[in-house]
Amino acid sequence: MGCCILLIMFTFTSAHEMNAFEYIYSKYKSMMLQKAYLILQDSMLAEDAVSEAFIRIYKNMYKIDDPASKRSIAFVMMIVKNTALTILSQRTRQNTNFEDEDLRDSFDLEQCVFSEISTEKIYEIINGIHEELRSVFLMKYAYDLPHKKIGQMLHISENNVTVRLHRAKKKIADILIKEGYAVEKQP
Amino acid sequence: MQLKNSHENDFFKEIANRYVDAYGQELQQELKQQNIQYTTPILDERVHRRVSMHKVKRVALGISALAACLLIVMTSSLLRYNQKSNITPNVKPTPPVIPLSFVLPVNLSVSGTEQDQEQSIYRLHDSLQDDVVLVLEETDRNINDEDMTAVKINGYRAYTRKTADYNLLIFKKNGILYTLTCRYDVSTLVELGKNIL
Repeated sequence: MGCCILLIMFTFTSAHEMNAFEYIYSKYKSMMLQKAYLILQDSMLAEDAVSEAFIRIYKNMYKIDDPASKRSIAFVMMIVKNTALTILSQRTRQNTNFEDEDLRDSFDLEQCVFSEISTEKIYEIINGIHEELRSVFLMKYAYDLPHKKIGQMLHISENNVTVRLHRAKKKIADILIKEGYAVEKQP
Repeated sequence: MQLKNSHENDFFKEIANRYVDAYGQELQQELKQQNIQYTTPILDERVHRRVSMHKVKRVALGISALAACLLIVMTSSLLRYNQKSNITPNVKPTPPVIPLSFVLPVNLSVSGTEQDQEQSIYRLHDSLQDDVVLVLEETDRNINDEDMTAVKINGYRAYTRKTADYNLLIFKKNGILYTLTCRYDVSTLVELGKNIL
């Protein structure tokens, strides 16, 4: 009996997810093509990126409660930008080299006092880090995805996810200190 | 070892969620102002074909799962009838944190820790400025040594990989898979590996 219920739920979930997916496809496709084109500067490659992005989105529809919400559109655009960047790096055979000579050696949030940070400032700080680091950071902390899932979605290894997440956090912490939004407590 | 990263996680969750809300709002504004809708029949056909293939796989998986469930129920009913034995549910325990069972080199210290399902992740600060991420996982699977270079550390086989982005060292000991990564120099990882192996 339990199995039948599960199968019915699975089917129903699939129908609900299909409706949400169709909404996303019809509503966001054109914007996704624009975002991909801005990165790839080629309409055929942009279509490839969008096609691949939609498959990754479809496989993770459980993460999209309301396809019209701010969080959902942000998620969708993040996927397509990363897909486009992956295609770009494959074509140019260049991996992104994250320069971190300026990063702080150590940063312990437990030892810091924070001043109030406006949303505009947060937006500016997080926009200031590379897209490939930003996506991993947001998927982990805003969308609560485990490392393995992030790796599958971005087609990178789990180790790479861990490394990029570490870098993203270090970069953000460094900017917070430099701009005076966090001050280390005096011993 | 006690994992004390809830404060850090809460902080990053807050700023991540605030960013996503702001970014999503900006995108919604952009969408409202968008005048162009692209007609892409080839893309439409491609995406729907791939989605359909995925749906077929999911339904097949669901049916297989249902068949497997029915088989298990029938088998257990038969066993109960024959043996009158209790079947206790198999509850998967929460994976425990894997502690560090070795001494770190003097230049390395633990700056942060995290548990991600079966993996215990340690972030190690390096006074020589080549921080390390160390991932421990209790697993049966073998190391995938494709595109890797084999090395020997204290008589144990290990594997390294160097990319423009990072250096990697991986090996297995006593059923635990050790994955070490750093930015600049693989010798940072090898020295740590010598303390472990």
